[in-house]
Amino acid sequence: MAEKAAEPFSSIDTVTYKVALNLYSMYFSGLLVIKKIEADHHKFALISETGFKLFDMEIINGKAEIMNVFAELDRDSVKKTFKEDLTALVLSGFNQSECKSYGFKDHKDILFMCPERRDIATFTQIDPVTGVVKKVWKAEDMDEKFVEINYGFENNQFSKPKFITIIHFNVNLRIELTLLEDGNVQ
Amino acid sequence: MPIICPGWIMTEKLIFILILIQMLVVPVLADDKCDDPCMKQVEFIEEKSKKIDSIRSSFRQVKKLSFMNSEVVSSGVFLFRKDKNKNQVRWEYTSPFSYIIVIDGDNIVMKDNKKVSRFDMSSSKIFEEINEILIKSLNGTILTDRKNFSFEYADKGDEFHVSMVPGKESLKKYLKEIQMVISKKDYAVSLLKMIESSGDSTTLFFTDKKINGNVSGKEFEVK
Repeated sequence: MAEKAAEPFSSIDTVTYKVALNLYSMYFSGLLVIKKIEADHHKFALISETGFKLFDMEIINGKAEIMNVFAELDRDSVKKTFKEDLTALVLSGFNQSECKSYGFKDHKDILFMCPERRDIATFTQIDPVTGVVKKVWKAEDMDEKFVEINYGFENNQFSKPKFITIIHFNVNLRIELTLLEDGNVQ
Repeated sequence: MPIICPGWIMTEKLIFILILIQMLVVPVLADDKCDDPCMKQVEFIEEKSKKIDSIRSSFRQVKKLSFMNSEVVSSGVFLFRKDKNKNQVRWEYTSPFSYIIVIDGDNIVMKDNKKVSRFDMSSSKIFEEINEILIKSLNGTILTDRKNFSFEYADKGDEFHVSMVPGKESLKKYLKEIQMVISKKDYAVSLLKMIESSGDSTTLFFTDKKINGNVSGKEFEVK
């Protein structure tokens, strides 16, 4: 197996994603900017296409702090969702050595189960050859997922997923991220 | 099927629209330091800008994210048209993503890929205050609206520079200052910079402007 997982956003400077967020019948679109500052230290900004800032966030070693949040977005439930989703997205705080590993019956991927808090664990599915992270989900039991993150790659750019979907199962929330071309972010 | 935006998106769009209208109705007010010759020049620009019935322009948007020390750049096509008693505005982002926002009187329509969201500005009492400012902008009375903004004005050769600072707390929460550059060639805005309270800024550069050319009402229809 690869010595270390090829974690998403581990070797990027700045990337921008187009965001499509569906919450029940509501729809919102915008841009998510992700900047890697150093190992396990990322900054995020969510803005509208027209350039209006919705929030800034910083995640260091699994701890997320949200700031400059647009007043009507400044609700605990909303902030908690974004904090948890983005922390999981960049695998912040993920340490293989602190997790139990499992195999799959029908393929060779490795699954790491990392206890997060009481009855809840984060599951990270990794290709054993390349170390590429394919999927992350949180569940009370291995099969009772309440949020799932899927990564899609192009041209072997494993630290910069082309497509990402974040699906919540306890609320009707689906977030789709599509990488925008380089050259528009500095 | 139309999709209704949540309230916080409406607020964002309303503020944005307010800024757009501010941009279109050139606020050529001088500050208290503007003397008589200065005021005459201001009035001259005001008269010229009132004669603009349509604009077709390319735009480039530069969003500076102070927290991340990064920029996001996008570009597209901007349209403006005066239609009887209402103003029509269309922003079409073409790079690096596709996105359309149209303001047609009281109606806002946004199109992201194939999803179309519609919003009636009059449907929410929460935003009455902002809407009132919008109406004042549409009928031109914003030009004397010192209650909501303070203005500074500078003559810079081929350009006029205008700075607007919101006075009301509701706007101050989001916007620290709006800066505009008006070209003396066409008396239309060539640069609009919105500085947020967080220190971020959004700058719009307008190029290849065609003033009072043919802009059809159909160009503001979004399906």
